[in-house]
Amino acid sequence: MTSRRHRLLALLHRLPLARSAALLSPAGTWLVVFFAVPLAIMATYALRPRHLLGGVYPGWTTTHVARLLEPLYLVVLARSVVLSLIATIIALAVSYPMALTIVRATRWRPLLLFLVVLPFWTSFLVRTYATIFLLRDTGLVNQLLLRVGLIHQPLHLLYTPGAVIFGLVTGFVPFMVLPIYASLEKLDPSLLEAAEVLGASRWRRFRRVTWPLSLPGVAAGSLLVFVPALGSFLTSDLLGGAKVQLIGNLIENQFTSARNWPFGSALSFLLLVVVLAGMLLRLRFASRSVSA
Amino acid sequence: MTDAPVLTLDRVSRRYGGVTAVDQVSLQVARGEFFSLLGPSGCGKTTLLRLIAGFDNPEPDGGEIRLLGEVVNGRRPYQRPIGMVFQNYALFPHLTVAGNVAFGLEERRVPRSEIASRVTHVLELVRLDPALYANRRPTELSGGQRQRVALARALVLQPPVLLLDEPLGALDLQLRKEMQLELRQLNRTLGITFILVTHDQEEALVMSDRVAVMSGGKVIQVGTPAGIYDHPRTAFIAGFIGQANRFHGRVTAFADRVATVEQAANISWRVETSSAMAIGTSLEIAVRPEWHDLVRDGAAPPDCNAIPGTVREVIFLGDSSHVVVALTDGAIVRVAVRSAGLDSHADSWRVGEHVVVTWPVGSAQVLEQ
Repeated sequence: MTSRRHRLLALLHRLPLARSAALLSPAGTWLVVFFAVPLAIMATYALRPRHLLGGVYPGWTTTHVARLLEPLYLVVLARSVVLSLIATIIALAVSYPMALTIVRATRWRPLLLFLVVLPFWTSFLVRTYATIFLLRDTGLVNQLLLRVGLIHQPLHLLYTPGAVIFGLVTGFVPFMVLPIYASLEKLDPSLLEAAEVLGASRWRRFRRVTWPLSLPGVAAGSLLVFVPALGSFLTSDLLGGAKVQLIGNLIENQFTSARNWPFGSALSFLLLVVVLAGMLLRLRFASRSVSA
Repeated sequence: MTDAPVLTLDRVSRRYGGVTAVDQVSLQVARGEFFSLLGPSGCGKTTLLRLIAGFDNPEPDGGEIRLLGEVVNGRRPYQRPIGMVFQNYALFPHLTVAGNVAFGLEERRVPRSEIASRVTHVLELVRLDPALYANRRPTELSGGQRQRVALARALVLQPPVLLLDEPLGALDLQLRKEMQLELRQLNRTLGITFILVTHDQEEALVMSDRVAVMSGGKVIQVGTPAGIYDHPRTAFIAGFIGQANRFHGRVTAFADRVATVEQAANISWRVETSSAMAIGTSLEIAVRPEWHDLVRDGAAPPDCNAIPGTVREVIFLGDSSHVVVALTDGAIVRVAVRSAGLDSHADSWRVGEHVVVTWPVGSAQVLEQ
């Protein structure tokens, strides 16, 4: 029995392909059962006639795919991409200085990292509701501004694109901070010293050494914010109301109140294509930066 | 040496918390000199180099640093006339070899056309074929090649002073010896002052014009390699640089600048001293293994000390052998015996054999206590 097992292991050792296949099989099975198969089901649903009570009829049609090109839906998609991009850029602008501070604060580093992760201790839903309490007409922000005397009438902050962006940024900032922190933490301090001896000022050292070497972290963080932001529906639903419909809300609608499963599937595929395009962009980004 | 010194340190100190890493160090380095800071790890040599470079805090915790006659206290590294080669090379991984070398030139706004020719020229200087290596990344180079790029990156700016922090530490022995000679050559041909930090005494002896031996944050001896080897001031230096036998005893007689010292009941020896020695003074001397000689009978040459002992071990070293002799008081003496020619190594000395260790009365260095 054991000798047989040994022989099997020896075989696995000799064949790198077989060995990696064995190592990958748990993840591979998981991906096939919970990703590839549902994706295939969704693809076929997108091409079937709609059942008015939800679900589909047998047969094939391209009407749902064709509907994707209607301006109404393209506007929603464009709005989603733009909002997600703005949220990603703001999250990057907020997170980069945070990550730099954490890396430089050697003594407080564990505490600061803990604080970055702390929001995850509360459900995303609860956090989003808390944001409503902050932003609504009688919310904390308006009360504070009124009290100080900066404004005389409450600002309408809630149910605007700005509120949605604010919600996305606050929700996803940790996903941006952590990868950037990881890449900055790997940065060898003697590289900055070398740059300094070679005549680079503080700003030039950042431009020519720190920033390019942190690009993999920036790319990973941007992807981790952009992709979930693009598919989000909770934030836009609660903070944007009916005025700021994103593609996530549209898809959710098709599967729930509109009961148009095939069109929902088609929209989901559209989202997938946009996300894949983003990934390809990241790959080009990554290949341009360091491989070390 | 009529030139003003390139580097002057005047009672320079650096403290970290309660620890004094560099303690009132004063040094002068002349133009074009190859100067080494030598000492065991933790002796403060790297901290001293970083003080000269202006890292951590460009203001020392005491004293004055002068480069090319100007006080540089408080000046940032790029405001000092220095170049630096780092221990781990610190090459920029996202730039090519040419990009690394051009970095400093670009920061100093050197025109583009000039940059290209200077990069090519300096790569040739460090013996890297520009056509072959200019476009490679540091990760695609061997340790020795990275070392050369780091050197080129510093040299291309033609700094009056080049600081090298254990530059050869990561290389294998063969390559290290090769680079030692090459660094020496570059120092001579370029006229740049080299200041090297190393814990390797052989490296310091091979390359340097002068060596400063450091211990506990202080410079304890400065001199030429030969000067320090022949006249180590303390027992620490005698043991750290080369090998040394130490003899210790009390002065029983002093006449004609020669002290007679009793080490044990039937072991005594004589040593030349520059100053008069009072009877009863405790005295310690260092004798290099190759200053000793071995004889079989008691017939020692005149003006030589002769102490009987027993051979414990014969260690073959190639060009010579070390015969380890135990004296009657238990003290161990290593005697270097040179090979006299083909098939005539020290294998004539047998373990257990009774021998006499000798050395000329003048061939010993009195150590400070």
